[in-house]
Amino acid sequence: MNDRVERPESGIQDANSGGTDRLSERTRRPRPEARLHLSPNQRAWRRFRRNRLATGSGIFLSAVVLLILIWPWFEQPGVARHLPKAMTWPSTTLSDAQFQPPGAEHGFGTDVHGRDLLSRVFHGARISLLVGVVGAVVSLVIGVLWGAIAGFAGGRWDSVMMRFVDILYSLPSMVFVMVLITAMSGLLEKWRTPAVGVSDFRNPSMLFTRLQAAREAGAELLRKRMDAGFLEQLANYKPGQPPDETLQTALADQLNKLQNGPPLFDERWNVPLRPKTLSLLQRVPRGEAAVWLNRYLLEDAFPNEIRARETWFTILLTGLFSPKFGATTQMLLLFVGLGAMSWLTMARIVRGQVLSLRSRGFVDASRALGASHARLLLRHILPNLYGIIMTYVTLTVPSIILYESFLSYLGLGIQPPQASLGSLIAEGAAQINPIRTYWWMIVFPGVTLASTLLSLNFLGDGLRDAWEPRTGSE
Amino acid sequence: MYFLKRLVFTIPLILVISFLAFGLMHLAPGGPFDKERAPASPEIKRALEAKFHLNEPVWKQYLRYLGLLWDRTPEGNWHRVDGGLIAGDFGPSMRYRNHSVNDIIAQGLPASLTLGALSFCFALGFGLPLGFVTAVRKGNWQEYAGSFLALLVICVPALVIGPILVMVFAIKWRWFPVALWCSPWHAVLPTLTLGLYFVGRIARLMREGMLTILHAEFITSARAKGLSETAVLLKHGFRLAVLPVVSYSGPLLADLLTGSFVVENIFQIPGVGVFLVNSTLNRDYPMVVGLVVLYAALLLLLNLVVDFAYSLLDPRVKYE
Repeated sequence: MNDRVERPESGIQDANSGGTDRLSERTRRPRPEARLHLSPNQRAWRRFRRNRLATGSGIFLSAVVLLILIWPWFEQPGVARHLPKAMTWPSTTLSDAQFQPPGAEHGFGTDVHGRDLLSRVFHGARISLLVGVVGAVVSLVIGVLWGAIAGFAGGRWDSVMMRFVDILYSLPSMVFVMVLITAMSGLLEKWRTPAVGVSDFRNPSMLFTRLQAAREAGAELLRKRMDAGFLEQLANYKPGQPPDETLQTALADQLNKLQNGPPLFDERWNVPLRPKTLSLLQRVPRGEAAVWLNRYLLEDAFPNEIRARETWFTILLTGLFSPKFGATTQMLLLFVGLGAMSWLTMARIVRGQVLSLRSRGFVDASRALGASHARLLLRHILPNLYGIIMTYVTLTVPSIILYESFLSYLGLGIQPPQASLGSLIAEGAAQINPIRTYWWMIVFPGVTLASTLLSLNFLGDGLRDAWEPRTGSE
Repeated sequence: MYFLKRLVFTIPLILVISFLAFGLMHLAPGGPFDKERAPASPEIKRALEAKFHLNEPVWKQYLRYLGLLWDRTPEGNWHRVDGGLIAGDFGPSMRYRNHSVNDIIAQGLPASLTLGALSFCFALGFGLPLGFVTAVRKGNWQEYAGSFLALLVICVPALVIGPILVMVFAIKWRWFPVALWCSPWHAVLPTLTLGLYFVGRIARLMREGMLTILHAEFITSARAKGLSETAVLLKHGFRLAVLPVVSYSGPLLADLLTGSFVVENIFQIPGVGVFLVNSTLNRDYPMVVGLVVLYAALLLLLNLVVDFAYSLLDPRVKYE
């Protein structure tokens, strides 16, 4: 479309400059707009660069991306999970000392486990952006292929393929993605959760059922470590009755043995536990603290694993090739699910463009020269779509980030110990109570999410205005 | 006739959807009785599974769910097994015992529908004027402020607005209740939370429609007739300018559905959205499939209504 609109203009300038004599041309530098032989893409870039809002958003986004990429190198290993000194543990009194308001030490405050929220937000933004970008690429591949083939084939194929898109438009695809992700991630849950938690040792019947789960590698590992007599004792225990003293001492004894022996996580995950975690493990947890310790244990057992693998490339690689690391596979499900529901607009737009392009002169000329369909598509039609594709990819990223944050908020997306902006906000929202407000747990991830979405939208709008100046928004 | 055809076409579509949902749920590991509180003995579990026919092959379960399963009576006669989707029966819930899926839907749907309708009305009520103003006042500060406002509410998602509204208006100032769904007063914050995003979306669509209309020839001729500017814009312009909003409301409604899950979660509204999330996690097969079918049918019907409205608003559009 750009060609049609702007070619006459450059033609006129061509004639004018041809008319001026050489001397004046040498002395007077032409204005940038009057330079000749700019491709449509170059002209679009020129228009784009004049849009301050869009370029500003672009700079902001690049800064954010740079920051979240280099952040792990600057982060002290202890900062991400920082325990405030005020919190003595195990505690007998209720305390909310782990919630530190934003201050000099913690720029964004600390979260429910006393971790520095700033680095949590950085990690969350990283995953949210990753899901957004990869999801958008997935939608790009599907959408461009679908739209290009439909537009290029035309006729009956076109109407069938586009009818399919219409149908998908009117279906609650998000509901499907929710079902898909929960169903598939159920397959991976086994890999994520430990077979037996510390708190199970307070409930013999639970411990028994957990240990009986034969297919669990972890359960078997534990069974091997335990005394045969103890296992028999467990099997004889009648559920519903309070455990008698011999059983209680046996339970404490076994737990003690397990904890003082070589760490289990070590064998199962090949992750060396840090001495701090081990020392925490050695104190027998009581009451609420047990749950807390469990979470801490879980999240503490993995950071090395996570940090080692959290570079973008390795996330993809490990996710693709190793089912061992459940969280990345969960993320892959998000990529595929959200990408597969967001390609519809892209397909429609690409199809419309291909339809108008394929009847243009240069395509006919190439066809007359005997070019194959693939060559026509790849060589002549797709290069004319770069601008539009780029625009809509930029606009798909925020919508996928939005959907991802919805899913994570509902607990279906990114699972702890990893965080996305949505799950961080969910953690904050879970702490809303009438007595104290921990506003920073919602405001900081929320503002990060909103500003990212806003700048992506500005960028996308700017790209669209640059590439198709005639049409409006949406 | 066209709409009748499409209405008929929704039936096989819903069949396909129910098949996909059913298949997906059964592919997932684990069953509805894995998370029973008391460690169920194998006999109890087997009895439960037999009661809900989970011991049958999946295709048989699916046919039973649809109500298309024929069974042989002891006397040797073939007869259709009662119930099933074709009889309008979504089956029993496996997780919420003594409740059928129909019960749960009947309980939850009014709240969900009210929330959705209120939010959409709120979005229309504020979005259309906002888009109108930003288009008419092009180049003025109203345009910049309005457009920025529209984009801002699009980019601050419900899951950010909701908790912040609760913290400020419900907990700090105590103007509105924190959660639940009992009185009109309870509806204010959820409606705001869900509706604001759509205010922005509708405003942008309306602005786009209005901008294209403003340069149309019939507007010039209406002005030339000597009509007042308000009459020109409201009577002649508005009707066509609202078309992009109408034609885009299919995807908008789908997004409204997605948003309602989050809003129901934030404000603990006893709607159906909460059940969908919990039931997928609990592998409550009939519940999930029932809700997916319900949502799909709802959206398909609404889309049909939208297209019908479009053809009424714009007589140039003819559906073949």
